Amino acid sequence: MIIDTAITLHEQPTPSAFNAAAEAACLRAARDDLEQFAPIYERYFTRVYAYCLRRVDDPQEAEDLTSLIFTRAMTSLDQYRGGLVAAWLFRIAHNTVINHHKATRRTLPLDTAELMAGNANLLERIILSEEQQTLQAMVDQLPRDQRNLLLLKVIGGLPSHEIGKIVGKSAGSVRVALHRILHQLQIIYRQHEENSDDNTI
Amino acid sequence: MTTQSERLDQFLDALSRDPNAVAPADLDSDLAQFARTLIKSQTTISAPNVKMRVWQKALAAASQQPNEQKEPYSMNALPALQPPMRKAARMFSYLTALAATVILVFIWGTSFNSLNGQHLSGVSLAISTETPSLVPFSTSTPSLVIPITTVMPAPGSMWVFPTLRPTSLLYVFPEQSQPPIITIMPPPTFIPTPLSTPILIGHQITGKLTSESPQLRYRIKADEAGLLKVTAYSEAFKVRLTYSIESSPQVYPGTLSNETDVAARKEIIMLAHVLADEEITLTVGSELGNGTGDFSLVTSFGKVTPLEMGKPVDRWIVPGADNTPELQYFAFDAQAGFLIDVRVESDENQDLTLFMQSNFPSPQNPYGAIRFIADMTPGCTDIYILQCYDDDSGPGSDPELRHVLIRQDGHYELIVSSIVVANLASHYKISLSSSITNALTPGSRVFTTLSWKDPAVPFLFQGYAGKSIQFKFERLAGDQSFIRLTAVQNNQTLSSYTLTASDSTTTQTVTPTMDGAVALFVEYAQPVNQDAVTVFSLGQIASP
Repeated sequence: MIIDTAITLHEQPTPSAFNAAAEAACLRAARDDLEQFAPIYERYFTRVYAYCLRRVDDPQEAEDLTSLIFTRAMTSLDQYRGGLVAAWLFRIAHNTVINHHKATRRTLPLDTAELMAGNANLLERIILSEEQQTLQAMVDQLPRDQRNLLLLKVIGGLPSHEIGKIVGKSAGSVRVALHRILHQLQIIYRQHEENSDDNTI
Repeated sequence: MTTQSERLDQFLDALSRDPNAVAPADLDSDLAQFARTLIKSQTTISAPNVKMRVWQKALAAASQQPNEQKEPYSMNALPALQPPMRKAARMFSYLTALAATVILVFIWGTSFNSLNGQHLSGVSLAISTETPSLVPFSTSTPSLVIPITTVMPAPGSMWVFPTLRPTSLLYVFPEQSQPPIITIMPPPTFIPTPLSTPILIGHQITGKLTSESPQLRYRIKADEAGLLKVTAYSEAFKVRLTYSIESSPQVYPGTLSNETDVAARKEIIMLAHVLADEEITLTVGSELGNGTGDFSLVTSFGKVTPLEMGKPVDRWIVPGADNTPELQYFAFDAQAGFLIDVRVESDENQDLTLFMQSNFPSPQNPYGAIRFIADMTPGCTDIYILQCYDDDSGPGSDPELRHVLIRQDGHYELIVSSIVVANLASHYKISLSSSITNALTPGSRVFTTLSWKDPAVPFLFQGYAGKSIQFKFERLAGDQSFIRLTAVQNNQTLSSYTLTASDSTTTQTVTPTMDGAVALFVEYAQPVNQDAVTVFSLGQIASP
């Protein structure tokens, strides 16, 4: 089945196996030899790709963006000032996606944009379960900034204070916003399930 | 005691490390289960072969663009950072280029035919592609007296501010030096902070208006010349700022009030030139005089970097603390009659914004000494701001001010700031260039166009006091809208004439009041359709 090609973020090494000090050492070594960046890529590729995929809804664009993000990371190693590598990477990812949205919003005619949204992620949607499809559709319906917040959390795995630095909010407001988003999604999901049950009956 | 949002936050963090993490007992179990399901749905993706492909692409691109941030910024290196273009996009760009070429060829031929007085039907699309479609005619005339990249010296009486020192005002990347220090000195009767406390960039001071003290006054003194930004904010009342600039021997008084569009935010932003040792006295009050409550004042200060035509300047920008975007200031002097372009090219770690403003006096700002920015976001409008947008019209998402017509001799400032608040430093290059300058000499003639995209075209004549200049305008083809011809010198209008729809030709005479350039603006005098194009010629009649 196609489902064999699906991967999950949790296949990545755990922090204990690849800790922050090791990450920083990789980044230092990568300044002289880019191949040394490979462990970082290995660890974060899926998260970054998933983040892009959820933000742009197009596998090819997500692939291009992921490539661009890691290119920028590898050419900006001097800009890493310590702290979580994930936070540093997702700041680059966040800015890259924003720039991508801004660059494409004026060039795509509306019908093209709609067409792409309609066909986007077709393969993925086929292999997802119905429950996942429903949830994915609900997340896709979120306003862009809310979706970004949610994805930085659940895909980026970033602490709220790091998300706050990226989006320009306090950690507290990020936590509150996430709580609201999940609560709203939960209500919508529950209603959807109830409607499905009614239809079944 | 932790709240539900904090507990959920902790659980989400735990789930990101371990999908089987146990939910805290005091977290709503339904919400916890939903969070687990949601995360599972978001973190399962299909990515066959993507991982290796992306790694190879990224590694190849990064190898071409080695990690050399300390090297001088090179815009030539940027293309290597562009994402690989997909086949469809590549094909589209080829087709676009092909189509543009075909259209250009079509226009070229049509333009030749149209100059016999016929209308240009169906050519608006091509002309609006910003291509110099009438190049053969323009180049046939000895039109340029003044080099395009040179700003003509302006009359000395126009300058309100002293000439910028060329090198001493350069901004230095914060890692290499401390930020400039300004001193805020509240008078003893209104002391929310100790006297003469040095305040660093981005520092915030707070105060409180009460019924006993409905106003608080502050004195701000700069150690050096530059631009001072003050943001006053209150949740409790609409802020009213009153200022006076004490610049011996003059005192410039004025008041700033909130505009409608920022009233809801109860924030007011003031931007002022300050000279070395000059003092600004700020009085914080409420719009109606009876507002009470807490307010904050945030100050920042930036040195001004002179910007010269054709000499790009490289800078780093790092958003400051307290989520305050850093502002960087550039300035140049320009004379009426130039069309200028300002480009910002960044490495796109940040989304940069570009503002341009001038120091022209107005009833609200009689000395041209202080300005008010309504809102540091795209779409802001303010009478003192000549241009204000971040439309990302430059390459990628970079801002660009394109074909800005300089209508007055004066001092212009550019402000670069960062929209995205993040800790990433961003490298950018700002450059100033003159896109089109039509300078005429006696006996010369220029053929060009007005269009909905460029609705005003400037011309320059060399003028001598009391010696008349005669020029002839001729509408050759295209849109028949009213066209206004306005001649100015030294910021004074020498003549103004409007052609109606039925007029096609006029000969005008202007008499300069002093030696120096005379600018003539040819522009639509009424709103035009989005495809409007008018072909015309302008020539200076040789003296007998």
